Formats: sequence, structure tokens, C-alpha cells
Amino acid sequence: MKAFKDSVSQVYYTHGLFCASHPFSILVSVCAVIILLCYPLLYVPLPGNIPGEYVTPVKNYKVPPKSFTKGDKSFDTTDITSIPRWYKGPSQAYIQQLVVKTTVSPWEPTQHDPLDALYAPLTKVFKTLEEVEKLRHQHGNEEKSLVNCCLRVSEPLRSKHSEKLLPEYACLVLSPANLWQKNLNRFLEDKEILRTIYKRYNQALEAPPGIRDVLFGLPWKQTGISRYFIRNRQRTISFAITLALKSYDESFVSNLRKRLEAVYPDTLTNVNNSQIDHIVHLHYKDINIYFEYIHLIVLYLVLLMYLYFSVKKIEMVKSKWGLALSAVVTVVSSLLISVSVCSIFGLNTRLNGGEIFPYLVVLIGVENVLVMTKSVVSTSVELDVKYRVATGLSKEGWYITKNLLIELAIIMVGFFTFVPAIQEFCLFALVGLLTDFTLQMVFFVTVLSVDIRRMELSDLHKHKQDTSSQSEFVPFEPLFKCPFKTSLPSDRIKLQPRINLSTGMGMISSKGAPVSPRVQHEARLFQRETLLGLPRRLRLLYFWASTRVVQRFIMVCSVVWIVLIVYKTGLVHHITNTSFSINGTVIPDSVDDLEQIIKLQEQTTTADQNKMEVLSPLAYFWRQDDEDLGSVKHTDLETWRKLSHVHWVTMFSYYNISIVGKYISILPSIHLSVIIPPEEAIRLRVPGYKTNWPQNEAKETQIKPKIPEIRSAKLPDKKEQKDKSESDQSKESEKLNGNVHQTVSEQYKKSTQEPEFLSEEYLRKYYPYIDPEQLKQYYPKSRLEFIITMSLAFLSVICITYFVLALYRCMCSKKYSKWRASWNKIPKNARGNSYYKQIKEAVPIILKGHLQEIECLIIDGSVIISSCLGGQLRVWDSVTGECLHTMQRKSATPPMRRKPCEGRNVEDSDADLYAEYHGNHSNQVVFSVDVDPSRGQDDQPRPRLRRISGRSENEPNSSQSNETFEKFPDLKNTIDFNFSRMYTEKSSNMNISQNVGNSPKDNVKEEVKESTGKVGYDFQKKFSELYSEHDKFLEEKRIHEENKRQYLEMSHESRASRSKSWSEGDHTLSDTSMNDSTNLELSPSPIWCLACRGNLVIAGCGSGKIEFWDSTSGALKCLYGESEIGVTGINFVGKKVIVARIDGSIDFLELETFQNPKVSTPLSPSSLNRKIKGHSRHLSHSRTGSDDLRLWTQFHFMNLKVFRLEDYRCLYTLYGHTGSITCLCLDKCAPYAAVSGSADGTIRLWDLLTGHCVHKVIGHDGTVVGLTCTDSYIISSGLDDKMCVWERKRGHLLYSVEMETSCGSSMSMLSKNFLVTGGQGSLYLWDVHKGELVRVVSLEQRDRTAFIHHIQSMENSTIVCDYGKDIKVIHFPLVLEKRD
Amino acid sequence: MSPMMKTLVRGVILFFFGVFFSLVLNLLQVYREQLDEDKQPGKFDHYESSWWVLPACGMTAAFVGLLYPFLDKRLEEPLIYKGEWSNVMRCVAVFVGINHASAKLEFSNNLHMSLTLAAMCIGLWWLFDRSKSGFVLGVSTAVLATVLTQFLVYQGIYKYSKADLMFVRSWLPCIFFSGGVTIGNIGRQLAMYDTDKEKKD
Repeated sequence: MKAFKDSVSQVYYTHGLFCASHPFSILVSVCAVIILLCYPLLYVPLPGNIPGEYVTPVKNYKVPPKSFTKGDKSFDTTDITSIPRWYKGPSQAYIQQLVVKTTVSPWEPTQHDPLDALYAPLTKVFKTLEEVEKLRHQHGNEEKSLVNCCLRVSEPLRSKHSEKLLPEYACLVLSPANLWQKNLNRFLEDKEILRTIYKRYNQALEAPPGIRDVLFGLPWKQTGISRYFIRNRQRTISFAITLALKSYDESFVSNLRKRLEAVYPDTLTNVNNSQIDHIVHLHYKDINIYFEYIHLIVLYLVLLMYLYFSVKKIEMVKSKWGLALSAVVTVVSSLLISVSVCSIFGLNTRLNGGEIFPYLVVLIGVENVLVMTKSVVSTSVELDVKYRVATGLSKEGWYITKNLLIELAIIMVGFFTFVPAIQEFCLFALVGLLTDFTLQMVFFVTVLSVDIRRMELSDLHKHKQDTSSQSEFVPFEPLFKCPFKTSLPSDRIKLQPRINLSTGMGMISSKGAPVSPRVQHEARLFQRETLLGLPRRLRLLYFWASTRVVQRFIMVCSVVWIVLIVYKTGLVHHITNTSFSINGTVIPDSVDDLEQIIKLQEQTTTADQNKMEVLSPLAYFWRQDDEDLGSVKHTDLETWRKLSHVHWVTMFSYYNISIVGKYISILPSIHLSVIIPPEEAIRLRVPGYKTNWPQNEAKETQIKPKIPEIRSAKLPDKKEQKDKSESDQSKESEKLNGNVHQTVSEQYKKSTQEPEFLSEEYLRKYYPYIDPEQLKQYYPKSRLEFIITMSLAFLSVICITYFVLALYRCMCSKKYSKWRASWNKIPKNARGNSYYKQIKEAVPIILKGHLQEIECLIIDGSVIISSCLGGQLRVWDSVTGECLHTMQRKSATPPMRRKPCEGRNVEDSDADLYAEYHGNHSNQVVFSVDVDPSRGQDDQPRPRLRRISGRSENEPNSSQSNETFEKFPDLKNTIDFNFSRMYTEKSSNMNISQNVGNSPKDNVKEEVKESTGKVGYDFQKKFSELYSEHDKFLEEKRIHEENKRQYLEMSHESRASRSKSWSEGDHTLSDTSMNDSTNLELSPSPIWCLACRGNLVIAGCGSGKIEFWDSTSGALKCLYGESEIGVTGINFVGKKVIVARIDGSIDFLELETFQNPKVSTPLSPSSLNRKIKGHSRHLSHSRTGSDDLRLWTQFHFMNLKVFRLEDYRCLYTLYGHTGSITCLCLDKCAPYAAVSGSADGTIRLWDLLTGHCVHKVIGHDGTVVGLTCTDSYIISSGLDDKMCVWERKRGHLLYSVEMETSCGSSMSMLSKNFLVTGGQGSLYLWDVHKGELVRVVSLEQRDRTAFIHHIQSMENSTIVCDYGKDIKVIHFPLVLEKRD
Repeated sequence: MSPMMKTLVRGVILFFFGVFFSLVLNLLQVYREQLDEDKQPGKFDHYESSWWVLPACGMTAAFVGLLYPFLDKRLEEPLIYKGEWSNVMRCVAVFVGINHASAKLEFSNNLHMSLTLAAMCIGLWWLFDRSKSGFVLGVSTAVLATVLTQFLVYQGIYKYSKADLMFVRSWLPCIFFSGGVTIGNIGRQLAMYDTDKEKKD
């Protein structure tokens, strides 16, 4: 049992997976199937309209008693329960129809006018009527006529009787003759009979039954009358004379029949009037709202409530109403399908559909829908949507199956009640239930998957990490893998517990042997993960291509074709011909039957010969199914059944007689056939009538003279041939059917004279301008042939289309994108060659000055800002290569003043070390230590550690020094004191919660660094001089002291002036002074990241401080240092600065600028606006697009977060990467996409506006380390030394290029086409279009080689890169020129 | 609201349910009788029942509807189906269906009809209740009500047109049974609403 359950669940799992993978195609096909299955509903009459029907035999018909009890013996022959309740008492009326079919035969197009086909037959109406009225018959001893037994009617309703069309105070006899007041002369004088027929008699709508329909008594299509007689050919006109009888008089009816058959001898050969031997009683139910519908209303109310309550329970989905609607659609369409399917199989319900539907719905139920929704929704959100759906389904699979089985069992029980109504209901329910189940499984599941996908996308930002993602264990594999690739992005992959923190900015070198550059051209047409963003046309094409619909279809078609050809070669034609000759009669089994048939056929053929039917080719062609066109044979003997349901009601309503609630009996109608000889038809023509066909006649007369010649020339041998072939065929048929058949074939021979239309004469007549021989070739000889021709034509159209498509794809599919791209590229290539040579001449400008390796490098306009590992910040001019400023990050601390500081050793003062690096060599002891470069390297993690250790020993010092500072304005003391206090400040900031009461100054959260102006710059100059000249040390010291003094004086002045403009009033004078001095003594922690905008350079330090520098003056504008946590990323958008820290938090700072005209330096206090704990783990990056809407952070974990800048809300968390994200590239403009690369080698393109993952591509075996994107490409490089170029829109790989080892971590786009990557000692210039290495620019100087970590492009033509301690600016001037 | 008040409210609601159902059923059955007696249907004056029938039905409904949750509480029998209004609605629909069938379908004889209806009733119970107490209560309701009706009829206070199958209208017990189960379901649902509220409070 367990195993069975499991396998059931597995089936459901597979199914769910399938449904969720191909939602749209499934939805479309399901809708198509539903519509297809519901199509027969068009023919199902509306419930309620159908009259009740009861059939009794004509023989021994008795009027039922007024009332009968169940024990009544009068019905002993029939089952009493089968008699409907309404079948009591005499019928309201007995309807006797005389259906007449007439035609003019033979038809001579040359002589006849088209209207002859209508005139002559309609005169027969009057004749027949006359016959009917004349009829007298002796019954017993009294003479009876129509007048005796007809239903007499009084005046018709006024409104319906404006034209006096209906009989008045007479027998109710309706015929087309009423249109002319039963007056033959009137008819003959009528020159516009069609207009008379088609006139609207007070009828608003054309819909039957109008008065015309009532008078003709036949479905209008069968009358053969059409408004426009376009072609001149034979027609069969049918009409019915409707007699309403008061009572059924068997002898009268039979006399009438005999009489009419005698009058129209053609009848005998065309119809067997005694074939139908029953009376049909029609009961029109009275509409009784009170009793019939109250319980129905209650039922439907209950049903509505049920649906409402059920659907209300659907929760946790994106669109509740959408799902509810689809659930209801499921139920309703399954109902409709069950009805239509049942009607296809001929099951007409005896029950009122409206009554059983609610029960059906209740039985079918929507429980499954709820259960599925709940189960799917409750699966782990970590899973991909399709797995969620599959898991949810598999969980409930067994339950659903069980329910289905139980319901089927209940239905089975219903069959055993032996109540026909219940059995019918059960049959309906069976079909409905199965349909509903199928629909739920296919339609609803798919809708659900779509819905959940939508919900996930919208809720991504709300999503909280579910740690229990691993608990969701699915024990199944799908039974089979779907052969088609899923067409939707798998947004989510199960989280892996492994968290890769190792990948950072740096590169981990795990290189294989360098391989010569290999370019792979791969148009991965089917590898794309998504179709989003593709034009619809292409999507369709891809769909076709991917599913190979066309191929399969063609395969099937060609097989059919071959079969058809084989089939057609001889056998088919022969068979069809023989069957044609037999004229539809079935080959009988016994000899007796055969003889009968032969007799019958002899009769018909003689009749045919008499007629000498000449049919137009088309008429001949369509004859098989439209027999009434040419022949007067009655095929449908109960034509009244095709009348509108309200036909009789309407008829009686003209006389204000209601038959609702009563019944009428319809007697078997008498069918008559009349063949009118052409002479008569011509004779009957309206004298004044002018034909509409002058031109036709003219043509015909022109052609006429030629006909005999042609006939004499060609007809004979044609006929011989024909006869020969005929006899051949007849021989074959003889073999088949024995000698009996010979007679048949002989008859056929005779009848073959009939289709003379194949002769030239005929063709000439109809197609005078075409050579008859040619025409004959094209003309299909049989209907089958016609169909085959058509299908072959259809096939060939498909084939041609396919081959054209295939050709198209051959030409461009393989290198499709490249080929397309080359359209734009070709002219550029020509130009490109010339400028590559120019590149050689590009001479790098070397910017020297940093003492250590460059750590950060950014470009602002033409200004380059760089920082080195040592923390030095420099501003360069890229054009001249001149160092504009060196930021005085540490220089404010005079080394001399530091020396006497007590209680300190070399180790805990990295400030000392720092000073040494930057040319402050006044302290000899320290200098010697600092030469070692490795110490500099170790600097980075240090500040924090040191600060912590330093706190305890400096704390007491701080309180003391606070006092001394205020008491003694002595310069030396001040400096000393402040220096130590710096630590206090820091430590107290760090431990605000611990020692709140420590000092009131601890509350100061803002450290505003005042501009040091030119003083700082002077220092630097001095120091750089000192660097070379150690012997001037003492002198320098003196100058230094002087400078210091100068500075302090200046600062006092500025302090005084600025205290007025100080925005935050609680700052006392002492505070400011303290601040000033503190800032002076700022600890120069290493810079981890840089950002700039305008003239403002923002440096994020490892110590958590953020410094704001003015790049034009090289002055420190402001300092923000509330947090101690290292800053890993800074971004500057508008007035906001976003700071990402190493612990995963993001600070949003807002710059407030005060303009002070006197000092003319903007004061920029940065206030902490909000701090968000963005990530729980190491945050490596934060970046912004230039769009100020969104901030984008990259996270060292596996997801990305998108924040909105206005309200600092996290909009989305983008999941999808299974490895930690290693690099990120953001769009600066409109599409706002982000490209992220991950440690597992995948690259994802995200749409930032919606949070979609647009593409997911896999191209690298190792970590993706570099990413750049342009409008049309995404370029990635990985640790596997490959550089991949992706088509951005479609997300497929264009090139994959092997690179030199470790080239890839830094890359930058130089113009739109060229990419520059850095490597060891050289720059590589790639052409992205071609995927080729264009140039290698070697930067090696002397013996030094260094890795290039930073490449920035400037103005599309200049590359700035770091090279060890230097910065190189390489200008590619021609690229720009050529581009524009 | 005090528990007493709540019970009262529930009772009133159930009372109206009962009245409503009896009205609907009456119409259905009247329809059948009229067909049997060959009257022309369509007028309200065919509704000939005595005035006390409706309130009596209402009272019975209230009683049964209150009794079900009460018994549940007493017996502490776990319910198989957690109450949901949709389920109750389904139950009501099936109940109306049974009545519909009894009124409109034509059976070959009364035994056939009784058996079919009985099967339907059991089906109803099994689908929507499945509790022993529900079954016992339903059966006892059916028996009691039938006996009471018979008594009334014999006393001449109430009459139905024809007595068949041992002088009891063949559909009567089945209707009573299914009605009992349905009303019980509604009562349970209402009670659950109250208890849920208590829990929340």
C-alpha cells in the first residue's frame, strides 16, 4: 500500500513538474481543448425550450383518456410509467404537413431564366391546395372533406395580420400560397416574387420562425429558395402545406395521401410515405415560476454560497480572485464539457439541465482545488516554483486520488438505483467528474504555478530567509524528464549550506596551463533560460524551433501523403467509382435482397432516363451530399424536427391560441415529388418579366454555332474512351461482386450518359473563354479527388513554408546573433584596422608618487584620485600627469610632538608608522622600523585591534587631559593632550552603552573636521623635501613648529567666525576647539574604498571613518566616524552617501552643505540618517546605479539586495545564486539592470525595476571575478581564465575566449566595442564584437612587473590603471575619433 | 455576550433555518402531490398546511441543531470533518437534492423509492458527518418525527394526501433523517464559531 501511495505521489510529482515547467503552452492547449469540446454545445438546444415528446404508433391511435389511473387497462400494451403525465385528453391540434419537392427538369441553361426554377414549382402550391380542398371521401355513409376535420380558426391577431396573409374564419391551412392570398392569378401577376417572399411582415428580426417560415413550414435552408439567384441552374424548391386538424381521421389522411400520390406520380419513385408510422406528441411545458423555480433558486443560492465559502479559503496567493475564478472556470467548463460530450454520444437528458447542474457541482466539488492550493502554498518558499508545485501535488496526490475513487464509487452506486433519471445523472456526473479532475490537474495546477511565480516575484523583498530549507526533502525524482526544456527561469535554487566567503575582490589563482586563445562560436539558441525581453516574433520562432512542431507535423503529413498516393493509384478510384455506380446502395447479403434492389434501381434509372438530368459540374460535384439541389428525392422524412422549437407555438399564437401546457400531435407528413417539364416552366413565365441575364444569353448565342462542330469532332472518341474505362471498371467490379453485379454496372453504363458536363459542349457553355481540353484536366472528377487535391495543395504550401524557414535558419541560425551583429559591424571593421596601428603609439603617462601599492583608484572627470595601501590619498590630473594634491591625512600630527608622549610604545601607535611612510622622518627610531614594507601590508586589520587594547590605558589619561587642555593653552600641551584624547573619543564612542556617564562629551557624535587649508599642503611639501634631505631635519622641525603655531592661530580665528554659523547650538566653544584639535590629530587608518563626485572625494577607512575631502583644494571637509566597522563600499548619489560596512550594515548619510562666504569652504556635516542592518554577513560591496532610486548592494552571501534611496527600504532580495556573489555590474541608465557573477560560475542578469532574474547563464568553471556590461553585451571573466561575451538581450554566449592567466579580475570598457583587461604587466585590448584580442599593451618598466588591479576608462578613450605604486594613463586617441 | 445569550442566538438562527427548509420542502412536496392529483399548479392557495407546521419545524430544527454540538461536547468524540461553511453548504445542497429526488423522480414502487432515498441519506451522513452521535441522533430524529407525524395524522390534526408503504409516506423518515443531519451540521458550525471566539478571547 505504501509503495502504491508512493508511486501515486510520484506520478503527481512528475505531473506537477511538467505543468509548472510549461505553463503557457499548457494553458493555451487546454483552452483550445475546452473550446473544441464545448463546440457541440452550439447544437444542444437550450434547456426549457425543448418541448416534451411522446411517440405513439399511428395504427390504432386512440385519443388518450382525460384522466387515467395507474391501473388503467387502456394502456396495457405499454408501460404505464413511460407515459408522460401531460399525455391526457385530446390533442390541441393534429398537424398534417404535405411536403412538396419540385424541380424543373431537364434544365436547359440556354433557354431558361434563373427564375424559372422558382416560378414553376411555386405554381404547384396552388395546384396541391386545390387538390386538398377538392378532396372528398366517403366514410361510411357521410361524405367528408377537409372542412369537416380541420381546425377552424377565427380572426388572427391584428398586429400580425396587416397583410391578410393568414386564413381568417376558416380552416387553418398554411402554405406559401398565402403570400398571394391563395390566388393563382395574383401569383402569376407578381413580377417580384422573391421580394414578396422576402418581405418582412412586421417582423423585427430575421430569426425564425417568422411568418415566412410558418407559411413554408420547412426550415428555410431546405426550401431551396435563396434571395439571389446567381447562377442559372436547376433548383429544387421545397415547401410544405401545413394542415391543422381538429381530430385525427385516419381514413381522411390516407385518402389524401393516395389522392396526392396519384396526382404526382413522381412521388412513388422518390419517397416511401409509409416509412414513418408514428405520431409525435409535443408538449409545451407551462412556465410556472412559483413551483418550478423556488427550489432551484434555493439550490443555486446554496451553490453560490458553497463556491464562495470554498474559494474564500484560498489564501497566500498573489491573486486570490484570479485563482477563484480559475477554480470556477474549471468547474463550469467541466460541466459544459460533460453536457457536450454526452450530447455527442447521443445522450439527451430527460432531466432539466438547470436542475441537475447544482448537484453536479456539489458532487464534483472544488475541494481538490483548495487542497492543492494549500499544499503547494505550504511548501518551502526556498524551492523553485516548479518544484514547489510538484512537491505540493505529490503530497496531496494520494488524497486526491482517493477522493476521486470514492466519488466514482458513489456514482457507481447511483447506477444501481435503477431509476433512469438518477442513472442519467450519474452518467453526466461521471463524465463531469473525470473532466473536472483532468482540468484541475492540468488547468488549475498550471494557473497555480503561474500565480505562485508571480507572488514570488512580488514578494521577493519581503522574503525572510528560511533556514529550514533543507527540511523539505522530496523523495521523488520525476518519472521521466521532460524532453522540452522549460521555458521559464528557475528563479530559485535550493540554498546550499556552504557559504563561500573566500571570494572577494582578490583573485584566487588556480590556473591551468594557458591555452592559446580559442574562440567558441556558440549560438545557444536553446540554452537561454528565459524568453523575457525577446520580441514576440522571435519567441514564436523559438517555440516552433524548440518543440520541433513543424518537423513532426511534416513527418506525419508526408507519411499521410505517401499513403494517399499509394491508396489513390488504382484501388481507391476504382472503389469510389463502383460505389458511385451503385448509387449508395449497400451490397446486400442474400440473392433475394439483390433482386429487389435491382428492381428498384431499374425503376429509378428509367425515371432518370426520362428526366435526362443535366447538371452543372458543380451541382454534380456536390450532389452527393446536397441531393435536394438536383433531385426531388426525400431524404429527411421528419423535416419538422429541424424547425425552430417555437415554430408551432408561434403558428398558434397568430390566432391567440396558447398551446403552452397542452400538447399537439404531429402526424407523419406526406411527401410529394413533382418534376416539371421545361416547356411548362417556360409557359408559366410571367409575361412582362424581363430576364436579368442578357449578357449570359448573348455569350451563349455566340458560342452556340461552334458547338456542333466540336461535338462532332471530339465527342465520339471521348465517349468511347469513357465507355471503355467504364466497362473496365465494371469488369473489375464483376470480379468483386459476382455476376449479379453485372446488371448494376450495365445500369451504370447507362447512367454514365448522364454526366455530360464533362463534354466540351458543356464546358464551353459554362466557361466560354477557356480551352475545354485544358479545363478538363484541372477539373476534379470526383469529390474525393477534389479533397485529395486540396489536401495535397495544403501540404505543399506547408512544405514550401517549412523549407523556406529551414533555409532561413540554415543561413543564419548557427551564427545567428553574430550574423545579425555583423550587419552593423562591417563598416566599422574597415575603419578599425587603421586605428589599431595608432594604438601602438599611445604612450602611457606615468603618475608616480605613491609609496605603496595602489589600493583604490577612481576617476572623476579628468581627475584621478588614488589611495595606496598606506592610506595616502592623492589627486592627479590625468592630462598633465601632475599630482594636484596629496591629502593631508596624517600630516597634521607633528612627529616631534609625539615623541615625548608618555606611556606609549612603538607598537600601539600605528599613527607613528603611518607618519613614517608619508615622509615624516623626524623620528629616527621609527623610521628604521618602517622601511619594512610588510608592516605596511599588515596595517589593514590593525586599527580596530589596537584601539581596543589602547582603550584601558588611555581612559584615565583622557579625563586628566581634558582638564589640562582647558587650563593651559600651551601649544605643546595641547597637542600632546589632544593626541591622547583622540583615543578616548574613539573608545567612548565605541562603548557608548557602557560608559554613558563617563563624560558629557561622549555624546558628541559628530566630528567635524575643519579645513586645514593651505597649511596642510605646506606640510606635505616640507615633508617631501625632508624625505630626501635628512640633514635638514632640525631646521625643518623649527619651521614645523612655526607652522603649527600659525595654524592654531588661524584655527582660533576661524573658530570664532564660524561659531556663529554653527548649526547645532549645543556645541560650546570648548567643544569646537576640542573638535578642531581632535581632527588635527586624526589617525590615518587605511583607505578601503573611495568615491567621488564633483569635487568631493569620500574615502572609507578601515577604521570605519568616512572622510570627505575636497579634491580641488585637497582639504578635509568633514569626517564622519561614528562606527568603528570597516567601510567596504561607498557610494555617492545626489546628496546621499551610502556606506556599506564589513559587518553587513549599510549607513545612509545625507550631506548638508553650508556655504560660508568668508571661509568659502562648504561645511559638510554628515548626519547619520539611518542605519540599516542589511546583511547578516560580510558585505563586500555596495554600489549604486546612477539612478537615484535604487541602491544596490552586493553581498558576500548568495543574494543581492536592492534598496530604495528615498525611504531606505529594501525592495527586493534577489535570490538565485548558489555561490557567493563575487562581482557585480550595474547599469548607469535606463534599463536598470544588474549583472552579478557568482563563485559557482553563473552569471545572472537582473531587472532591478521588477526584481526579475532575466537571464541566468553558466559560462565559467570557476568563480566569476570580473563583470562589465554594455548595452548589448555582458562580459565576464572567471578564475578559469576565460572571458565570455554574452549577448545581453537573449542571454546566450557569443564568445568564450581563453585569456592569459589572471587577466580577468579587472576590466573596463573602452568605448562600446573594446574591452580592456589587466593582467600581469600588460593591458589587453579586446574587440568585443569579434571576440578577438586586438592588442597587448605592455606596461613593463625595467624589471618590474605588477598586476593590474584597477582599470578605469576615462572619456571612452583613456585608460587609467594602477601599476604597482604608479598609476598609468594610457590614451587611445583614435578610438574616440573613429567612434564618432 | 454570555454563553446563554450565544446559545439563544444560535437557536434563533437555527429556527429560521428550519422554517426556511420546511418552506422549501413543502413546496417541493406540494408539487408532487399536485402532479398526482392532476391539479393545475401555479397558485399559492395550494399551500394548505396548517399554520403551526412552520414554527414546529423551526423549533425542531433549533432543538436538533443545539443538541448536536452539545452531544459532541459531552461525548468528546472527535469530529472527522472540521467545520467549514463550504462543507455545510454542500450538505445543504445534497439535502435539497434528496428532497428534490423524492419529489420529482418517478420510482417504480414505494419500496424502491424508500430504499433509494435511504441510500442517499446514508450517503449524506457518510459524506458530511461520519460521527456516531450524528447517526444516532439522525435516526432517533427520524423515528421520533415519523411517529409524531403518524400520531398527528391519526388524530386528524394533520393529513397527508395518501399513505403508502405501511401507512407512512415512504419518503418521510429519510427526509427527517437527512434533515436532522443537515441541521446538526449547521448547528455544529455555528457552535464552532462561538467556541472559536471564546478561544480567541
